Amino acid sequence: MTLVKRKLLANADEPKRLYDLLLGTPEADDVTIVYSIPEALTTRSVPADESKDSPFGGFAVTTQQNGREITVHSKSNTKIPRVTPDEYGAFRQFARELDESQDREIVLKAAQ
Amino acid sequence: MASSTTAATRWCASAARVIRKDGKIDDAPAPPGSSWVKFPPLAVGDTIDVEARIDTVRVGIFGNYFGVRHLFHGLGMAATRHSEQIYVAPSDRELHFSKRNGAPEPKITKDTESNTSTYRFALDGLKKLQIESSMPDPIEYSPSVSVSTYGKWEDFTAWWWNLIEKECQSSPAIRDKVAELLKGKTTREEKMRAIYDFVVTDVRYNAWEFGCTGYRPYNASTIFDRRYGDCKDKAILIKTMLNAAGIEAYPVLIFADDRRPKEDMSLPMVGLFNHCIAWVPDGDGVAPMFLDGTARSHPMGVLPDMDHGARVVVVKDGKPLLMDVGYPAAGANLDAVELRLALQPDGSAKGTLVMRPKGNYDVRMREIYGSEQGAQKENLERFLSPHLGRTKVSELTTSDLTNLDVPVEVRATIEVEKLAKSKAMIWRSR
Repeated sequence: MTLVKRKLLANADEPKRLYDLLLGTPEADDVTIVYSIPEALTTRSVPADESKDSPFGGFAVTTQQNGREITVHSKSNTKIPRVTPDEYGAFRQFARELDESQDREIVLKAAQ
Repeated sequence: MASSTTAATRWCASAARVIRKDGKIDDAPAPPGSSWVKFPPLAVGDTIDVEARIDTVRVGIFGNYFGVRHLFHGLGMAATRHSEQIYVAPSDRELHFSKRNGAPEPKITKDTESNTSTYRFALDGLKKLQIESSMPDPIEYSPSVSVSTYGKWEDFTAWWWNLIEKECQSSPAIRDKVAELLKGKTTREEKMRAIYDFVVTDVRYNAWEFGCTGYRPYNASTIFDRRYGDCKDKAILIKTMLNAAGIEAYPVLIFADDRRPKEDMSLPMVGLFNHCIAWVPDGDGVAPMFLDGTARSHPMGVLPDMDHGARVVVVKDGKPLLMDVGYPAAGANLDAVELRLALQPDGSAKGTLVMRPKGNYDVRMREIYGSEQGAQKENLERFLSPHLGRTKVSELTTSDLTNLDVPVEVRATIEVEKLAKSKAMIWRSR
């Protein structure tokens, strides 16, 4: 649903670590996508809103439908430049949830 | 096996051999005076044994300074059976040591006949340092010894300031240019921005090595006249021009690194730095700020990622100020996008895209879309297609990407070949 997926979990593929994981400079994205749906289609489902805030970063996805327009607003950020081995498990969980939040779909169906 | 921080040194392997798994020993040729060793083919289980010596052979730009940091691990952070560092110096020459990550205490012996002192650090049985993805530099974890003839930062910065102070002199041409740049500028921030913009855009970056003889900057007047310089030249020019505008500014020694380890700054050493920027204290409501003169696409206030997180030494009239550059808040580096897409019955889409990036995203946009004006549409298509599916950009306009004072804005009209996929009359939009 976002334009550029952050794919944070790709930076954390080891199940455990001995040393810190460097994430780089903290960054954020704020993406709004407005879809106009043609008359030939109607909305079957839109992603549920979700959000999370953690010491590593956060994300929020909201979807609004107004007539034939669906607006998806997604935000995510990373807050810290490195993760310690003790924090690593919790970071992976956060990364997984963030990645999943960026992978939702709008499902449409043919209008009757 | 080892490296020295000065050009006035000679590295020489004095003995090298391979101890095979079965105990057999094969000598490795290390011709006298050579700085290389030719090992025979190696096999798993072999142990490499190398003895090398670094001599200071002449007085270089660093005078009688000596400084080096050496890890106990062997090449490639390999398992190391025995590692020994021996420092030999005149007994009346004070050496300062800093040990990290379990490095041992030295055994010190004195030879009255040669008037030398020998400091011997030995460590046995080091396990291979596990390499993980995106980990800090092994210097953060491997046992190491640093040695320097400087024990205090005050002495180190006084020495460096003595080396560069006379290069910070202004000239009539510099003063004229500063007056020209400051025309109509009333606030401190406007003045800083005008001078910063001039140095990063009108003075070409030309890298010389920062170590060794690259430590002495050219004179500010020379840098200004020929309009090019390296990091320390640009830092010196920023300082000199800001000073001419009545604004305090100081050079800063920094280690630029995108994969920054936790730095050990307990011992002053030349090798702790590879880059030079400037620092402006707060004043007239403007917060203190680091300025990197090499950051050609970075608006004032946006530092290259390689500068963030660094422990630095600000050299304030020869005195040291140890500071942290710090990291920006996440929102300062913002990828802001607005996309309006009209989905068509066949799954394609037409629409508009507006990007208003901040911080390091602003910089990336300037570099991508500002450097190749003729390839802007193609570059945007290349960026969008992996995320939206094959995309064609029919119109594209940007803000003035060469003007660092104008925020970046990219507007485009796009067509997406297949935004939604159909399956049994159900469409799934990306």
